[in-house]
Amino acid sequence: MTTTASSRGFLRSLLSKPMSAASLIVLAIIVIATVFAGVLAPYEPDAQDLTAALQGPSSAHWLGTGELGRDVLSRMMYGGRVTLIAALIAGATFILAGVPAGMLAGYRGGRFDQVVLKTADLVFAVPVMIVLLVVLAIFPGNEFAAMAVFGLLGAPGLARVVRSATLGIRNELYVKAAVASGIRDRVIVLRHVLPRVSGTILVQASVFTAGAVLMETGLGFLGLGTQNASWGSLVAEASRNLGIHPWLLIPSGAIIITFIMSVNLLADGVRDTLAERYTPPAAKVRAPRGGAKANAGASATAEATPVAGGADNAGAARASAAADPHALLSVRSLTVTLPIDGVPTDIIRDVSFDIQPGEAMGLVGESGSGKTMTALSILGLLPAGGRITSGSVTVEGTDVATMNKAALRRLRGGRIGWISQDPISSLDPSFTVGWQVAEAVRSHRPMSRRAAWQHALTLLEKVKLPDVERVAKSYPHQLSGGMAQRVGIAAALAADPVLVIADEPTTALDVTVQADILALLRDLQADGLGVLLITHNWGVLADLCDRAAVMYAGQVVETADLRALVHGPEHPYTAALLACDPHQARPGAPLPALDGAVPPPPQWPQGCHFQSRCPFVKDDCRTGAIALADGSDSSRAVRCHHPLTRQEVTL
Amino acid sequence: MIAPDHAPASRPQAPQGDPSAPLLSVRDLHVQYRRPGRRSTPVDAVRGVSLDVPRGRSIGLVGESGSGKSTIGSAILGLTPVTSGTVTYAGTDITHASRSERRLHARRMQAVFQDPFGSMNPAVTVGDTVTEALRHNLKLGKQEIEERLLRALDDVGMPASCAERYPAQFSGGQRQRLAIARALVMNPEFIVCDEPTSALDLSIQAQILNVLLDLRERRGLSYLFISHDLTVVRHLCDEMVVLYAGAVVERGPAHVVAESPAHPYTRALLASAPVPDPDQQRARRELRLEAGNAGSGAPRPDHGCRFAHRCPFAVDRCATAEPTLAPVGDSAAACFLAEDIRERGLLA
Amino acid sequence: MSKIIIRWLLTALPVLFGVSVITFVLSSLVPGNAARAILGINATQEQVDALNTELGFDEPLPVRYWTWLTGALHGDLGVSVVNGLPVTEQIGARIGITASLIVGAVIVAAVLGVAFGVTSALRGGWLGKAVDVVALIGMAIPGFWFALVLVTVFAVQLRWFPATGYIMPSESVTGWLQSLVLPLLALGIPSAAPVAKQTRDGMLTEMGKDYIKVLRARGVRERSVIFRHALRNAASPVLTVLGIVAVVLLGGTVLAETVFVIPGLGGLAVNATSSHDIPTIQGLAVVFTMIVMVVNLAIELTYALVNPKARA
Repeated sequence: MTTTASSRGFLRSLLSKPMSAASLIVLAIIVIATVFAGVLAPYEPDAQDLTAALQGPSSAHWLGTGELGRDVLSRMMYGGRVTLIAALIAGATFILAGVPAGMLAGYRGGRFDQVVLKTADLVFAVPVMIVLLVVLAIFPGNEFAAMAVFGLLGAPGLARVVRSATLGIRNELYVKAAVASGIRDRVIVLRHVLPRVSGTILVQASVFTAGAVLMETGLGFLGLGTQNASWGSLVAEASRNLGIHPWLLIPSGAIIITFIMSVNLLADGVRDTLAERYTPPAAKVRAPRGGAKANAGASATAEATPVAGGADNAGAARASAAADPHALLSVRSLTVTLPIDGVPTDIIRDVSFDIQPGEAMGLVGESGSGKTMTALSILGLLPAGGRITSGSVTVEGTDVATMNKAALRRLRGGRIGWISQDPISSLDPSFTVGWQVAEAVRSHRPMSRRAAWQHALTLLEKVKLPDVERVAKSYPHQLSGGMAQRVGIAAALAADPVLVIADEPTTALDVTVQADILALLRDLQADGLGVLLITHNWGVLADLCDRAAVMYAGQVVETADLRALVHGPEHPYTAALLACDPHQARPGAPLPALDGAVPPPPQWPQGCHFQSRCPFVKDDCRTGAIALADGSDSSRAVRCHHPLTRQEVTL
Repeated sequence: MIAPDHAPASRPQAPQGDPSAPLLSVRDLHVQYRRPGRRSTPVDAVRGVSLDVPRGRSIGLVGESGSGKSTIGSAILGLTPVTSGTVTYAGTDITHASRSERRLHARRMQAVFQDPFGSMNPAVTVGDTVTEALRHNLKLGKQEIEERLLRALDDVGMPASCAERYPAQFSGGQRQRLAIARALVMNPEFIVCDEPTSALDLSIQAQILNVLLDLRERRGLSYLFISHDLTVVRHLCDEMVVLYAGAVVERGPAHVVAESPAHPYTRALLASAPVPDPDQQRARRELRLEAGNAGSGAPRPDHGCRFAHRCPFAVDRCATAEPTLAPVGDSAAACFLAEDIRERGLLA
Repeated sequence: MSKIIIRWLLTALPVLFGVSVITFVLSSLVPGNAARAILGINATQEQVDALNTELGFDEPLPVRYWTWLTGALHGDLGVSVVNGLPVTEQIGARIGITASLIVGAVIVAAVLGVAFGVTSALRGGWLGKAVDVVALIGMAIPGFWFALVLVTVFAVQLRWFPATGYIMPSESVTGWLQSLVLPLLALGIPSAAPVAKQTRDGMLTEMGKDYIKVLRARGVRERSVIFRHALRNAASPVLTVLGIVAVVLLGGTVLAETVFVIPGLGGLAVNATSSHDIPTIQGLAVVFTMIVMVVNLAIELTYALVNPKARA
């Protein structure tokens, strides 16, 4: 039931791609013309008309005539039989030998797997063409034997591809889950493995078959194949008459190229259609995270001109105040737009906060709250298509929007250092870590390579790495996560920045290592470095920060001194987020969980973004934008019409 | 052929044998990995772990990356071959059980994994995924399958309408609920939860923990809950087993271990996990300073106490002899100085 | 370094052995026999028997193989049954020509492919699409047909280059270069297509990775981010593709040498095939395999240079 339904869906979505549909039609025409050549061809393939040899296209001979006045179109149709049957033999051998071997090797592993891999390695080094010549030297003119050998030589390659696809699927969590619930291997292979590998097989087989057509025509061209008409012998005929009748090259080349292109295009279509079915949906549901989609045009925001605030931030009393010229970083009414499914959508709306020199400030929130995007927009590193549509980012009194490319580059790394989430993947795997720190140094200070290396060693010492000479010469994959993060911090400090932005710097680390990294950041802060910490973890926040801004669905909902925030949250979301941390709860008792999830940017409601999950929601929360206003005292701000009082929180 | 299953949908039957015997019993489990293609010495992922999951209780398995906690879960589920030792489920040795033998146990023992995005085939509807094991292993009637599906979806707080949709249409938290529903349709008595909330946001984690707590009450489930997060384990579990370098270093009632640890490693873990209150956190930080630098770069010793190189309390003896688990009050710890450590308390 | 060479030898030797054994076994399957095939229908049975003895064909297969192998190890690949010339000598005279064609074509493919791949990855838009289309067509074009088109356009019509033939560099260096231009373009351009596609895909993947974002956030110059970091990391799979391209080119030279009438190994192979010259084709199979192995070693060594993980 389900399989037929899904394969129908597959065909439909394949045919909805114009290229695939067109290729399928072209292939059908070629195959029909070839198979029914006896009925459809205007002439016999060897019918001669010596009076009309080597002529261009005419009404009698649509594609002209070749040597001895034989009709090119007819020879092409009949010749297709030889070529296509040869390709079919190669393709069938390829699949029959490669697929079972590959699937068995991938699913079962063990010794058989080793044999398949080794064979593939060895066969890869065999010069295919010469082996086919050997076969043809021994079996003269037996093209089909040559093609079967061609298929056999390709099969280990297919086996390897199928094997790694199978292995990949075997290691998928859903296959593990099926194994753990006792489902039979046969069922798993038929239900989960085969449907997913079949696309790969189809693609490999079509590309290989296309290669077989090339090979067969090549042999035909050399005159080593059958003596009958074939696409290859048409080219050979053309080559004999290059000087007098070059036209012959056109039809023979066109048919081969058209056929192979159609096969390859169809294979691409199959691959894409299958990929769509198996794409993990994370990207579809959420706004793109971080700079994953960033490309060369990422610095586009530098040119974005701030627009006067829209309706949403009109009433933001505190936020609309001028940027603080004494602050290290002053973000005012920042609104950022990014295309989601092609529609420009606000992903950050009216975000304001300041960081004073030497201060450690936290941005706390769940995924989808816009923390990382806020940080990226400070450095002008938004993903492609992302723009600051209103508001401003001011660093040490200078509006980032007014900076040119060179100034922006000096800002990044020079004034503001960046520490990222996954320490190992944040380092280039091909360079030693010392080299990378030295590169960061040289990007901001003209100095010799040797001096930069020495400075890099000093920086690595500063982040308390042991045995810096050895560590500096290591590659990222040779370091533990904690050491790699220290290297990342050293590189962020390369040009003595006044502020570092740390984007979830400890999320990928074990707790004991996390504590060490936090201690290091705390020491650096004590020496006067400003820190903007992005985190979802209240404990990490408490360990490092003096102040925090809580973000929800692209907005800052509350800003306060951390102690005041934790002990007396005024925004219902802050209170709820604190309450669902199991630290605060009685073991075994139900946690005061928030229902639902953070709405993605396209679904932000009118009014308060938290309204759908707020236990205290009132009618006025559903209309009009809500400004970030003074809280219970002037040191804090809250974006809520009905801020909580201390009594409500303890309830 | 599998045995026909006529068990009522309500509760699985009690197994034969002593009802007071633990549901799951692991004895002296060793798991070695051989890195493929290299002639390196095998890696000891698990070194002699024993643990029991009594009926109706929840046991938390805590440790950092490389501690072997997930390997133990895989070995119990038969996803990783066991080098030596035994895994007994309801009195039956399932250490090297074949797939068809496991199929019989699968009705009582189920699993929920960490990554809610990878644990469902994206090309199969949620209903099909949730009922897959029911259809292929139990051969129940259509109506019975439908009933179990609806009940499981209801138990995890998902609407019946979601069965027709594909995994892509659900958020991480919703998928994790569905993964729990997949385990529930089999009417299990025991579920291995491998970091089921680690990939989730705090508010979603709270939802899932509530679902698990609620199911424990209503269905009388037992959990083996594998996590790196002591706080979560403390919240959900009766007992806590702390792993370090493939061996158990401490076990005992969750609140005892979490409040007065007897092993320096447990103590270091607790001191390292930050708490939301800035003042409390400052106090912890000082405790941690006193507890010494847990993350020293020295390589792990391969004889004596494996934790000695990171341990602020280590004495000469620790470098030569490996301590074994010994009772300390209500719990047990593998440390020569366990009594002293417990005496010190968490907030010295 | 030495590890790579040892690993390479562990692959190279079995492959060479395997290829030689397989060609030997295949040749023992000859319908009729080689001597009959050489002498033709009209020869007497005595003549055939005499030739068989002379060629050693009446001995059992393992003995023949052993004789051949000991000879081959001393650099003697036997004697052509068609013209009586030593196979080693014939191959030695031609191998330089074929090798220069392959090396030249690989360089053409690498330079064109990487240049187009990088440009299209960075620019995207119509240029990216153009590279896609060119790559698609490139992969569908039969090399020998493309060679004929080049000959027609540039030699027959425009007369910029000689249509066919090969000039030794000892005769005239410019003549040599001129005679190589069309063959190298004919071999290199279609081979550049898969290289360009892999380069573009690899660059796009690398540019999306975390470390690129972090390098930018550190204020590293964009030029350095692209060429020093992204391109270097994208290079490994490009090298793998180049290795495959080199093997395919070996087949391509057979065809190209036929089209351009170049006296290389390819022409020798085609002639040996059509005249059933088993010793020659056996020797060629071994030599061709050795060329592939050398190319693979070069790729492996470059790979280790680019990728520190492969060095360990």
